[in-house]
Amino acid sequence: MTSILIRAIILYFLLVVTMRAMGKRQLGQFQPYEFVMVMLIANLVATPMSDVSTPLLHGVLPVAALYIVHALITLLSLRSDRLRALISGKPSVIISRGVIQQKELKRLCLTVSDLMEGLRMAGILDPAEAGTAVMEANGTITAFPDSRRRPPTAEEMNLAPGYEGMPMILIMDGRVQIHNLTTAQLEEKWLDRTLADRGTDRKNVFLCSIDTQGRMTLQDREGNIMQFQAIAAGEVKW
Amino acid sequence: MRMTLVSMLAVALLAGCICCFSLTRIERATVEIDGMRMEVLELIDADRPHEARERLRGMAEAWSRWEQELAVLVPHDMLHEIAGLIIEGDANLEAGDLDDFNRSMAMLGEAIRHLYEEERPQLNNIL
Repeated sequence: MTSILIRAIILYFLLVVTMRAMGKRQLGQFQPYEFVMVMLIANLVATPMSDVSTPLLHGVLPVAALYIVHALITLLSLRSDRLRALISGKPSVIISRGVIQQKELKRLCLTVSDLMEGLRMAGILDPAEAGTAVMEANGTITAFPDSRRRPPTAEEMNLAPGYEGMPMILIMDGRVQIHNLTTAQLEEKWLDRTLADRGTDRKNVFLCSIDTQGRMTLQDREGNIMQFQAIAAGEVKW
Repeated sequence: MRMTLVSMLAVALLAGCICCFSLTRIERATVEIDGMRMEVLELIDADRPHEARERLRGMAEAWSRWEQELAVLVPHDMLHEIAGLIIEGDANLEAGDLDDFNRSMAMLGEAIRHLYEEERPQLNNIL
């Protein structure tokens, strides 16, 4: 029994390391060869995990082999567009200029219902609003509204909203995120001072973030939310 | 990209080393045990059953040592099968039943051969 427990833990960590090594994409949308790999890995570790008479290496080595093949395909795909198209396929435009490409739907064996479902998942309720829709290599449909039916952009309205980048999380659950603070070129003393000015301290803060316009948002443990200009927009350094 | 290439090569190298290590150890174990098996049979043919039993016991001890190591590389039922056949052979020899003894030794030889053949990288095993 203990052996099964330990083997399960070992194989679990092996899978975590392998999936992590494969990259973030695997956690989201799979390419076909990645999907195959994930399915195979689960089956390969199942037997050695529960059957003590099967050597652990009989689970480890096949997983290693799959990782090698996956890494090889990934590297070759980076180098060769043809190989990438062959292994992963190419995206296909299924709506162009608002017109549904019927031949493409037929080629992809997609029904109109599938298309409607894809459009709804992309946030487009009325197919008449879709300007362009693409079926990606991993099978998902991405769709974009017609330019006449989408909200105007800031540029079209001659507005200059400024750069909108990643907000920096400075405090999470009372703990200062030193790495983010350093990236933002801000100091702990400045943070403590800013919090003190607002009548709180780091331990009492559940979440504190600062955006690329210098606006700080913080929520304390009592659920109170404060938003204020912590630094000038021009002083933002990330 | 470089990290992927390096890690791929490292894993490939490690996997290759494990495969080579496994093959050499299993080959060594099977050669040793099969060699002892042949010696036992020769001693029986030379009408020296007492020495044959001693040799058989030595084979059991040797296999017991090899089992510890091979348990990491080979499914345990195969190892237990070989151990069982050695014990069976010893029991048959002690009882003076040479027909059953010869059968046990033949099956033992087959089991040892099977153990090695399963490990070898050959088309039968791949397909």
